[in-house]
Amino acid sequence: MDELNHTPLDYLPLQRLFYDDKLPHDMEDNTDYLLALRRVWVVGIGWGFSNNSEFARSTEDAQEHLTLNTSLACIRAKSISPLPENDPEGILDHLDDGPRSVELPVAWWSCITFLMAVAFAWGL
Amino acid sequence: MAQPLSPLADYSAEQLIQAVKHPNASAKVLVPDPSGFNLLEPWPGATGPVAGWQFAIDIKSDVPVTDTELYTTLTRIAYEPPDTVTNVLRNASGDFVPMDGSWYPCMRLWVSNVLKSGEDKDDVDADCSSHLSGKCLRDLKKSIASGFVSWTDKEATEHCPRVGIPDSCIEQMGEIAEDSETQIVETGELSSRAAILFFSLARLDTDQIEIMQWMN
Repeated sequence: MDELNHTPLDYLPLQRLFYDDKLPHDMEDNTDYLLALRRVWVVGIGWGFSNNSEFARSTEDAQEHLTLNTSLACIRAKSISPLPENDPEGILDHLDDGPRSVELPVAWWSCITFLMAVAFAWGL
Repeated sequence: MAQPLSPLADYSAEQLIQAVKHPNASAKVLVPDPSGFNLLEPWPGATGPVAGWQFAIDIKSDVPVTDTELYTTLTRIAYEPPDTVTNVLRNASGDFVPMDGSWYPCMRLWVSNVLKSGEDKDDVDADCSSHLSGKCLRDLKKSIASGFVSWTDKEATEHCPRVGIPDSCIEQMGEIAEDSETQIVETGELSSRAAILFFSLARLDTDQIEIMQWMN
């Protein structure tokens, strides 16, 4: 492939970036990231002809002869790194299967405290 | 509505690509038939549809916004050629594919604040059948095709016009504002032949759909 044979309009960009401009937020607020994880993104593409195509130039009544291919796909992102700890809307509870890492120490300390209380009571 | 801060406008294309290079969340799906075409062949393609094209999504949280102590979340959606033809279609950077000038791909992203997955992480079907009705899917495809139909009209000015959400999809996807504005940021740091366009959206109300028009 010789890229020099192509003009700027002959390139199809493959990457698009989306951001929701409600998003600027404090570091501790991960609400929008967690919502993005749950979001189902619908992507569509139509494979059409350019007005520079031979088809468009030569076909007087192109609409009747139009054979356009279109595709739709749904996609959802899955977490591949530890989720942020902050969860102001409780969304994380629906996304995580297991207990959050920050919850584990709390659970252990609760258990130890309970055992100490029982032992203390028996000692009395 | 106050003018929003725009990390897309403040950052270069290279910085944005770098920002999502190590995402917090990611996924890929095969595009249902017709998956794609060999863009090097004149439209409509001599060899027919080429299977294996994918949509890939990457989400990066906590991307800093310039000159503030605020952060945002970036989502990148990439349309990826199949491995079997990658070496043919992709340029050296991997961000673009050359195509014959007779093609005009019209791409859209519908960002619904209503359409969400359930607690089951694997409940999204690539063909959208788990979330959208058959009539909605057919109407969405028609909405994409309508731009090309109008293109055969000699007085048409838009090749890939912005269209509203079909009535048959409102119940599942929510309402839509058809006049949502798009912001186009064209960076000057890449060569003119490889100019990259980023699109962002004006924010709509929570329960509305936002459409990103990918190509003008």
